[in-house]
Amino acid sequence: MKTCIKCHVRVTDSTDVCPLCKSVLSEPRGPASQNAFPTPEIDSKQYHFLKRLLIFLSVIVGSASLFINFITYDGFLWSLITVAGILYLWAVISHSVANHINVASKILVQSFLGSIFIVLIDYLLGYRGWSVDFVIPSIFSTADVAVVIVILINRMNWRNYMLYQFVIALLGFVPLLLYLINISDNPIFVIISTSLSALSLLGTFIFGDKAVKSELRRRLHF
Amino acid sequence: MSNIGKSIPEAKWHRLDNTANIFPVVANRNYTSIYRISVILKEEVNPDILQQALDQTLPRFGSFKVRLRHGFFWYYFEANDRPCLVAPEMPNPCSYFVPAQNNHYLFRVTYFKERINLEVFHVITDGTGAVDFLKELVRRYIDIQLFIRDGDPLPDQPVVDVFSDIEDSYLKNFSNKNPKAYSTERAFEIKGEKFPIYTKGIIIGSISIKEIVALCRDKGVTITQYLTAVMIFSIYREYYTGQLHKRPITVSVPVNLRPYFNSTSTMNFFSVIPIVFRVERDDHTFEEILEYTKNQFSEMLTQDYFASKIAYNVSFVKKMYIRFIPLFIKNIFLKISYIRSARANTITLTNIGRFKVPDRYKPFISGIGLLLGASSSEAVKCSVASYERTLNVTFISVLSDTYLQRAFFRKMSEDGLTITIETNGAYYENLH
Repeated sequence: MKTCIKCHVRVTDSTDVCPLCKSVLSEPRGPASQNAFPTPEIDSKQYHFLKRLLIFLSVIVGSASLFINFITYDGFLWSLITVAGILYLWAVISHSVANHINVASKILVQSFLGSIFIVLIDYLLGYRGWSVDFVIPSIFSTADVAVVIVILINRMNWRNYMLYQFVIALLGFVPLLLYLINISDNPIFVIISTSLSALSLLGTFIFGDKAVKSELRRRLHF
Repeated sequence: MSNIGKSIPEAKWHRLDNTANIFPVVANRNYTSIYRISVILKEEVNPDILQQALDQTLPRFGSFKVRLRHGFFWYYFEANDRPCLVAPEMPNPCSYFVPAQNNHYLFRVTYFKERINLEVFHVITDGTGAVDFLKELVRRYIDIQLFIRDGDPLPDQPVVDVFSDIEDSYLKNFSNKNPKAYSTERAFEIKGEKFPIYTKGIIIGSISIKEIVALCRDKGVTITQYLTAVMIFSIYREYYTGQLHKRPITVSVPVNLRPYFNSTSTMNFFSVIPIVFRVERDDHTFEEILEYTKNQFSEMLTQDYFASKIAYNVSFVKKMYIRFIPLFIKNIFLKISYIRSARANTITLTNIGRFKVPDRYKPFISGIGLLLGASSSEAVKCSVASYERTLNVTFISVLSDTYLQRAFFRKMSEDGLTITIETNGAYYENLH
């Protein structure tokens, strides 16, 4: 058998150098041996050009707008909207475009991040309250309806949408809360969002069978 | 809609065991928390028979037949009814796989030439649980093969004692007595030039059991103690020459807790003992290190020691304010604590011991192998397994140098052991 005189070990690989110290083996032309592993793949092509290009552009656009905003500052921090927009775009790319993520989870994350983005824009534009009055209730009303549509289309998979449906429905009560503490003051949108959320929860309790309820128990076990 | 009126199928579920919570959080393409146990047969593996064997084995192992799900506060397992398919071995073993692309299963059965591999994501079970599954799978494989070839009837007697015992033995053996925190003192870290990402170097050294048992008996130590001492000595000789680092050499040795607490759980039930060696001089001898290692082992391998480790870990998840933190926030803290504990570790050395099968199956099996997943936070890992007359020490590394492996095997051959080396070929690549 092939032997390394320096390491005092035998080598069964089909090679003529010692894998430990790279010395030439004695009897390098010993009996032909089989490799014990598939040939290792050196994966040096793992390179996502598009992703790198997008990162590059994001950093340039973000810092350029911060810089221009800074040298021409007149009391309006518009560059923060650009930066938030870029961050929002990345959240969309990494979460909502990814294939293996649950549709209901995408709806939830989109509504949540979208609401934060909208409030930020409203705030930077001198806060007139349109974000909490109209946009947030509309976002969650739409999300409530969207999740219910997803469930109706694929009812056998209801269990998988359940947790997200619940969180969305609970977030749908946030406009009511904002109304009660006088942050928002448009009752019509609040009523729509609150009742859609309540309907979504009520529907689950009435139409959901044992499986749906046991799903809730496991999702919320603590 | 055709589905109206049909009831929605309900699946069984169970919680993760106490240790398992960490693995889904820290696993990624780099640190995979996947390990692989392989059985080498004497003939080339037939994929169709392997698939049949898997189809018959899997339903009995409740801890394997699962998918991982997110709850609001914790992860949990849910019974998985999709088919689980065998596949040819991929070039980089123990590499990350997305469960969603594996029919949501958290393990894979692959084959290469004469070898059957079971790659397991640590979240479902530890080495002991995986060995049992593999044993039953291989036994089925051989039985089916014998049935097809010679018409031998299929025996009913399983080769494992327990198929499925879904018990969190950490919780069961929890008592609130003197909880003991893990050491977070930073340990010496093995560094060097790395392979391209995802490529790993594997070196397997085979040693005759007879020789190593005689040597260890001579020195009055167990095989694991001897190998741990050789490991510390090799790191010391290779990396502490002329320069005394302040950080200690810490070898983590996983321990199967089932015998200590009389458990038959098929989920995780292990702990880790850290052998911390502080380098004080530049003339430590091997004998000195061996003696130290032996004492450390006997100090820590006690039920009391493990009970206080369990007390520390479990007391966290028993606290109400921790239980009601949403999962995604828990995960952030888990990740931080994992990074701290990984830094307290120079290398892991695990010995799953002897692979025993009934006599009927021995003529068909030629060997066993164990492989851990290496990562940049722990560049080299070492695993030991034995079958019949041979003990295999396997190194897996993300570093393209072999200083540690060379020192390790040279020390063993200095001690008179005959070593046969086999690699995955990664170390020859740059020579061509």
